[in-house]
Amino acid sequence: LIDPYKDGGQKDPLHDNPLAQAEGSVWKKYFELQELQKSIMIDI
Amino acid sequence: MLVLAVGDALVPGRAGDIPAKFRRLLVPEKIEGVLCTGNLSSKEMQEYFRSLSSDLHIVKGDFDEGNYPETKVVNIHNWKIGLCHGHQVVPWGDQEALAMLQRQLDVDVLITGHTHKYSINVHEEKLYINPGSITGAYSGMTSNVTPSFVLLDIQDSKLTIYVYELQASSGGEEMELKVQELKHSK
Repeated sequence: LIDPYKDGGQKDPLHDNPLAQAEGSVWKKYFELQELQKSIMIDI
Repeated sequence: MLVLAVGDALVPGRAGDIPAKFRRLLVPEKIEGVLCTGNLSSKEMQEYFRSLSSDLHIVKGDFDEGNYPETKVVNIHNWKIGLCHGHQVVPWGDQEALAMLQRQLDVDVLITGHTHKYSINVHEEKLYINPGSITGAYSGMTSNVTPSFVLLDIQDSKLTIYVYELQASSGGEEMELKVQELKHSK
């Protein structure tokens, strides 16, 4: 699981902010996983 | 919890629309609340922000005709957040005048607008945020306004503040997105 709050060293806020849409952004991956989790819960 | 702080759109009076680069960033699945400093100036703008989050709080700007309160206090987690357009605070944007309003509302964070200039200040351990104008609408003080808004990531005792601005690039007329990250805790 991805935790965007974990300090992963120096991040560039332009590419790693909650609204970032760049591939590789921790926040983007975090929200994608949240969506996936929601879908799985609905399926269950 | 991600909360958008935004205001002074002044569409259609002083600006055409929210910049496309900002619209692409603002998606409803991520934003859980909107704190608006007023002067949206149109129902369409209000509906746009309501489409981002149904938890929408708006105060009355000097160009707003709707039935909005002059000030509002919103509690999110352990944070007491005050909202006011800012035209009532004289001199406009003055730190001591804002501190008086902060004491009246008894808030941890005071969010105001009106100056169309983003600012983040900590004064006597209280946080003061002005998200600027999301459209870059001109103000009574200047026509050279940088479009900006603020996103707050609110946790129990910590705040992370993201400032989004569109600045003219050195090359030409293309506007470039700049993002700053700041932290504040109780």
